[in-house]
Amino acid sequence: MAEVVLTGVRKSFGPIEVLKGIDLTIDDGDFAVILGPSGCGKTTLLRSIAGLEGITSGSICIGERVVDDVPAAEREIGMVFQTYALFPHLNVYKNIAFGMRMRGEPKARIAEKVDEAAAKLRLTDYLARLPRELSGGQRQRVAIGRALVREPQVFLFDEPLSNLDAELRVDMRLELANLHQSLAATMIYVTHDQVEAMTLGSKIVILDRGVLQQVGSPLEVYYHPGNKFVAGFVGSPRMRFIPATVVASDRRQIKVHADGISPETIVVDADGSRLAAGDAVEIGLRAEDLRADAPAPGHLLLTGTARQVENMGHSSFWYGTLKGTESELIARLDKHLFIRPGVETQFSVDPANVYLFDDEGRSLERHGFRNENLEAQARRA
Amino acid sequence: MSSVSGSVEASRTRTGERRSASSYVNKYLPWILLAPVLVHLIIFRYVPTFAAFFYSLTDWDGIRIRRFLGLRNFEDLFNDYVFLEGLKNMVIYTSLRVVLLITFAFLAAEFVISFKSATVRTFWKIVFVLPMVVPLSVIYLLWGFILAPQNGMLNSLLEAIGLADMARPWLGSSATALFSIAFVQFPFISGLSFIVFVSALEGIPKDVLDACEIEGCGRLRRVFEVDIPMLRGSLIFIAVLLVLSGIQAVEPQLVLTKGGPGTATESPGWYVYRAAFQYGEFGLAAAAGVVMVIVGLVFSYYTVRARYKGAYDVGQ
Amino acid sequence: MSVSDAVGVRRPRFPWSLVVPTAGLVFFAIVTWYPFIFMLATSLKTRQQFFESYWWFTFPFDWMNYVEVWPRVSRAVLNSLLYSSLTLALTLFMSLLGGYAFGRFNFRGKDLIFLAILMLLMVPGILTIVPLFVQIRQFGFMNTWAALVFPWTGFEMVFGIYLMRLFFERLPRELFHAARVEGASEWKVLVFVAIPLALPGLGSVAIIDLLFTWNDLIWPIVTMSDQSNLPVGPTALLFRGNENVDYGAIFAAYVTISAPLIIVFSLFTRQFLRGIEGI
Repeated sequence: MAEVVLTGVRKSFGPIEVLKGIDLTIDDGDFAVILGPSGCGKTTLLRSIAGLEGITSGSICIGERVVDDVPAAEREIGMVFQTYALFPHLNVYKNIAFGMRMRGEPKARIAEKVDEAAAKLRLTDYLARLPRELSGGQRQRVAIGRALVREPQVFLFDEPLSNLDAELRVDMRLELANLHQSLAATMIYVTHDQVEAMTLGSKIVILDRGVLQQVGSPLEVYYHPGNKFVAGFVGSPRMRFIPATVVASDRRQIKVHADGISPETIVVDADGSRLAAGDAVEIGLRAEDLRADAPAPGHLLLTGTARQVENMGHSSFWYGTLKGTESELIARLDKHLFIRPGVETQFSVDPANVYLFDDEGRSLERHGFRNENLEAQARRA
Repeated sequence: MSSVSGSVEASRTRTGERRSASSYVNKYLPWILLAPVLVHLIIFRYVPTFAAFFYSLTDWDGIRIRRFLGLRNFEDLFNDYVFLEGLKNMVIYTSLRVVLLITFAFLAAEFVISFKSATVRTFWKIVFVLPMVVPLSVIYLLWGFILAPQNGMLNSLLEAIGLADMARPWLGSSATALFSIAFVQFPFISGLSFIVFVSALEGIPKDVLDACEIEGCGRLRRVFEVDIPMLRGSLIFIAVLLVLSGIQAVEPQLVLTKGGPGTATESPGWYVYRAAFQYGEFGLAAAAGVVMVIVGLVFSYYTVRARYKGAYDVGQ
Repeated sequence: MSVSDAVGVRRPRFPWSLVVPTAGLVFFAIVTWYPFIFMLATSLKTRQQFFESYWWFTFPFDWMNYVEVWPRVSRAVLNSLLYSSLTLALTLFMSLLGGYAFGRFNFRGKDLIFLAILMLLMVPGILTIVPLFVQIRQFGFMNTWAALVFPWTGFEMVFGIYLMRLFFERLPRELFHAARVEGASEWKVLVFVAIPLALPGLGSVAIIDLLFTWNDLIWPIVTMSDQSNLPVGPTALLFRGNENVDYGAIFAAYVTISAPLIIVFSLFTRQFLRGIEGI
């Protein structure tokens, strides 16, 4: 097992720079999830680590070894592809054994390793079958088996669950989490699905347009997004932003007022040392933090008109327009609350749940949430 | 392909008011479409095909049937030294052509897909595909010139590089004539096989090739471990085409050798041509044609069976 | 960790994977193309130039060879254009009808009829050449365009129907259903939906058909006893050499005969490539 260190990795396809200088350390035993919208360069990053793409500049280390000029086959990695990439002319046994056979390992050892992997992945009964005779989940497990028998330093997964149906995806997600636990191996996993990222990752790496946006534990990126992009990208429904003005600020507190939107001026426990009174900021709101029942003094008060309400059973989503800006607002409401379209509702938000961003989109670090509890939680995940 | 009549039914009820006229058309539409096709095929394909089998049993000069012979024509064929030599040559020529054409076309296709750039690939495809449009007779005539004893390109080349004593009348000597006609069109790349192989190789999913690379399978090994097994269908398809055209070959004889010297390049196709159009033995010619069809069918049967025995789906 | 204490740093390897294919393809290309270049060079030489400089172009070009063969060859080129275009039109029409009937509809006996048509692929021309010859003679087609166009169409449309059936089956069914729901009659669906969609498929059929009719040798020889009616393929056979022959002239004839199709396909290289890859 090994750590993976990327230093200043850049990659261009012709005139287009896809990776713009990535510095990243993935620790031994980490389950690192690279998350980003499509076209952000996440798959290119993974393929660069695999050695399937050469990098334009920078350096990649796996374990103690700089692998920039090492061909993919000798990087001691195992990779699972989005389309599984099984060899259609080989049966399950031969697919799993392929890499060992290429390296010329003795037959007995191959058989032993394949049987072991097949048992672990519940494929023992299917070893003689061709890939086309398997279900999607079984093919996926074969692909994992093929990566497994190499005993790689690092496992790479390229959106491995995106071709499975919803139910199977949940099963495979749990299975992958188990696999990571039992192997304690370093895994790098590319996805655009934030549920996969939040549930699987011990570390989430958020990438946008070839630039690293933030690296952190799932809860860290959720509660302490480094910038507006991360805040907007992680979490569903997306965070909404409303404009506001700084009334006063210091290292411990920021006092902001959302003119024409909220009558209340709120005080947020965040580092406002780089702000001055009169600066423009943006307030970020998550749907689950809007409450329709209990306005309290000091809370942010918002008035919205419902356009549509989707009842999900366990809760309902309220979609409407925010009075004062005409921008869209989303609230997650208690299941007992029914609001008809066209009705005006008042929401309140506890300042402790408010996110603040300066006019360059950088986050203003909140104090309240960096507590022992959260850190411990993150470590356990 | 199963739901069409259903759809026609359904739309009929939807457009109920025009039902009588349009439903009549709908019901017979496939037959109306097929009518010209079937009439044409019956006149110009089926009738001659069945006639060939019938005439092969007769003594026929192309105008009237003199006698019904039963299987006598076939007996005569298998007692005819020239026809038997033709069959033997056919086997040698066809095997050579299949092996040579597939090997070179496959090699060139592998070379082409070694380049990642689509532009470079297209360039090479055009280089080898464009000569396909030169008429076959011109190509054979050119090769006749290449292999000619005097002023021929091959002999001139051998002289130029100091191997003059290797020069010989390639088509005029029994020892080399058959191999020489099998060698026509060297390096055999500009043809359907090459394009089929390139398309098939380009159709191998990229992820499979990446997996192959990660698992430590080098470029040369990839050819044997992945490309050839995955191209099995295309390889066999091309092999069948080449065998069928090899069995029927008549152009080399018509343009280059007239079956000679002696019987060195005789072929059954050439035998049919001469029996009918030089000697007026139409019944015998038909019988020779029947023998060739049977040989072709037997071979195709085994090839197609091999095709389905090892079939797999590339799509997942 | 730092880069300096890392192990396994390698120099870039010699790029065998690019050098070998390039060398191989260049060699193949030279061997493939040189005879044609030689043909072109020789066609522009006088007898004397041919014996003085064998391998490459000589200057000045001698155009007289073309002037000399043009009257005989131009007739053949026109013949071929006529025969091939008639065959092409008829083959495309038949392939479209047959392919559409099989690709879009279900009817009684469909599989059986399709199988019967496919079986024709197994029937080689050499089997039917004798009875077909007699039949064409009885029809009074000898020495006319009909002697070539109808039998050629009979051969070419089998593969054409097969190809077009596959093509139509691959088109989403909803397209046709939508047109029907929108109120188009079956005939309108054929003309306004099926035919425009079928164009790429028809392109592939057209290429195979053109290559076949342009190349066929034995059938025109058998049916066209009058040399002035021959298409280009067999006409080329009238120009052949022994030692005393005028090489310039015969090669000029070959070049003239090959030129029309080369020009057509050079203009439509991309389409040609796509069509032939669609087979």
